[in-house]
Amino acid sequence: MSRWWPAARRDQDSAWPSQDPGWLRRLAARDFAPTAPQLHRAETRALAAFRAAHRATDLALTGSLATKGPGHLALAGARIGRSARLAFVVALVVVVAGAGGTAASGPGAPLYAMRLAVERTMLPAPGQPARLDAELALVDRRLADAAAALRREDTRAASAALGAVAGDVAGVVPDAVLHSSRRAVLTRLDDDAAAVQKLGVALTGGGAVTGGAVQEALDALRSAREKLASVTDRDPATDSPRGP
Amino acid sequence: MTWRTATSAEASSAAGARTAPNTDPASAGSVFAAARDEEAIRGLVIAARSGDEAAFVSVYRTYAPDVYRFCLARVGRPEDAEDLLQQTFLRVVEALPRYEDRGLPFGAWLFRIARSVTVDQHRRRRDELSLDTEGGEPNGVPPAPLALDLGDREMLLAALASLTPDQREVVRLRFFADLTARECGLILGRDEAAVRALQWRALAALRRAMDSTPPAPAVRHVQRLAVT
Repeated sequence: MSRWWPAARRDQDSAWPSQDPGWLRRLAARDFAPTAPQLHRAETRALAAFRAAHRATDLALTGSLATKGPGHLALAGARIGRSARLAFVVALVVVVAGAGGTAASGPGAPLYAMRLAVERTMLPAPGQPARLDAELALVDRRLADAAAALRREDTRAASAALGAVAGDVAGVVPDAVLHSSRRAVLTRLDDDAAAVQKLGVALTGGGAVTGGAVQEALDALRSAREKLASVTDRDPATDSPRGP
Repeated sequence: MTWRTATSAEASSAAGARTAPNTDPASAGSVFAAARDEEAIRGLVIAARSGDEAAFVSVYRTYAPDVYRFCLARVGRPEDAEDLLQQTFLRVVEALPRYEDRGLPFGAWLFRIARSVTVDQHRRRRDELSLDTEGGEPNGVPPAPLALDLGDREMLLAALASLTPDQREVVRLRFFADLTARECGLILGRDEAAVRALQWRALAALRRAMDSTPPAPAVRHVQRLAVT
């Protein structure tokens, strides 16, 4: 063998190979480093797996799923926050009532955001069967508020009420995933989307709905529908004709 | 895509203060330059566990080069090391929800997985090889004569082959995976002082191996590299 660590190499680096590990680190860094394409390929694959794993858990965030994983963190948070939540509700109710009640907290009013927060905080705890009904009722309430505002020709209030739909719809999917009547929820979401569309047309005076609160509400309803439909298609047997 | 894109910066800012990892292979010479900030890594891991993609990318970019070096030091072939790097992080994705910080640094946890992945692959290869070589040399090809132009990487791998398994492993974990003596100890089931002593003996043995004529295990290793 003509090249077994030639003496010339040793002369180039007095610390080589000694107890000073610098030479070894340099060699590892120089001759064992990955190339950028290698790292990129592995990253792409790992990221795809990461996304797939979390897409699955996103659809199973509700408390009755007794699996380990990110859902657990949400559950722990929900349990820890219950007493804090109650205190928050009491404080907000006091503030809202003190500021003039419904008039000050109606759609578009200064305290409307607070009212929304109070209503969402007062929902039954995650995992309780009544929660899904309450969430769907909130969506209906927003639509009723928007319709009432349009009757008063208060477009600002109508937009505010429609703008709140997206926030309420976001909570529906995790609770509906485990519900026995997912198909009924899908129908309800379709009806809500049709109602939003009609309200949007009225809001824009017959023009096309592009952007703003209406589009946001439609996007949220469509997204919720798609997520729920993907679960329902995989597991059609759990469906029941009973509505929520 | 160039390495270290804006995504890396976003990930860093999303996850809070953190030492930027040196993930550019071209500049990795100085490395293991950026000492890992354990607190920041812990924050990133917690965020990744709850689905934060940017945090996961940050964790990947912090450790991937070292995982690759470690794997390459074990298997010797870049294509195998890349495959092992991928497998390691796929397994990390699976196991991340179960990762709990109980005093075990994330690096030690990660390299336990990397070791396990390389051991599994080695077993598979050995089984395949034993089938292939039944009744003769692989594919009927006799061992090649010692290569005369092997690079430093192959030479170092050959020298490592002359060490004991424990010595080899401590060298790989300390100098290729860039783990601390404590982290190595957690992986190898030894205390920190024992790891340092093992490392001292490993480096001394490596020096002897390099100063002398190639020992038999090194020759076999070089022959295997020449065949593959």
